Amino acid sequence: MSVTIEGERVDQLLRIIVAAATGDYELRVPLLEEDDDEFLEVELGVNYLLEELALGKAKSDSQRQQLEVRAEELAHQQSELVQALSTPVIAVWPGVLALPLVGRVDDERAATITAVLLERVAAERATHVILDLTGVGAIAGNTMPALLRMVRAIGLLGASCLLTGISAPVAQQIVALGAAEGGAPVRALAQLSDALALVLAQKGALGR
Amino acid sequence: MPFRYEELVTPMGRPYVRVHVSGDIDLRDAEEYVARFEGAYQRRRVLSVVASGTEYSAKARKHLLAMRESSPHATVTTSALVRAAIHLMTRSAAGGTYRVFTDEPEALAWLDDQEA
Repeated sequence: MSVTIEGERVDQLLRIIVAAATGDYELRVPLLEEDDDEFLEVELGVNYLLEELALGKAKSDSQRQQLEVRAEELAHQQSELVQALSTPVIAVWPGVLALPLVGRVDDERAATITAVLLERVAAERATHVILDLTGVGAIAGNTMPALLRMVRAIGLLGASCLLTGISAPVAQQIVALGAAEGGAPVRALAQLSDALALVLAQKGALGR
Repeated sequence: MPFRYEELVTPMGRPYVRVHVSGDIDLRDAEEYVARFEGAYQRRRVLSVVASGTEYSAKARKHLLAMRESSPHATVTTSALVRAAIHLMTRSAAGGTYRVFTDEPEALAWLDDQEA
């Protein structure tokens, strides 16, 4: 088969193919009834291909948008879940709150814990807060002052804060910050159960 | 309606369906067409007369291509663009005896000669 084609038609087709290669699927080869030859099928075929590419791109864009929305929802849910799990404030007795901390505590988490805990202390008129650090592997360098400020803030709300489960490195951090020497009213006990027994004894609950 | 159907008989007395096609054909039109030829018009000879300017959407084309046509089908068109579109579509069509004509009596004579 031999077909003679005007250079302009070939140039036009190539321009459109090059545009498509850069992701532009909106152009179409202009088709004329008078171009009644085999090349017309090639031109029309390219247009069909461009239509398919445009449809595929629209579908893929729509799916990507849906995925982005879903990812955003999941991230939000995850953030809420992490926040809830990272500050599990438990009312172990009327007026007594316990917060067992697990994992690494950084500035952001310390800020969340402070906000949640102070809100609960105020809302429940708590008299005692037991902050259990047994599960805390490490506290970021600048975070310990933030936790100690939280202990002082709890004191300002009229509640006492007891620290339990302090590891040797954390104890050294507290001493280095001078918190154990009078600044903040920090009372430390070995275990959560010790602190609970002490608080309940102070409240006279154990004798009931 | 892009498709208009007539049930007719060839000069040799063979029943066929003449379909007049025009305008823009979308997926719904294609679905209706396929349903007819896979249902009531199954195995019937087809003569389609396609007007100039008839356009098939991408989804319509795909749906029409998926149809397994086994009966003889003659298309009559004077449009080079329509002819190119039909050639492209029938290149990958599965089975069937298919020809494109510019003249309806010629198409009908060919259709009459085909074994259904």
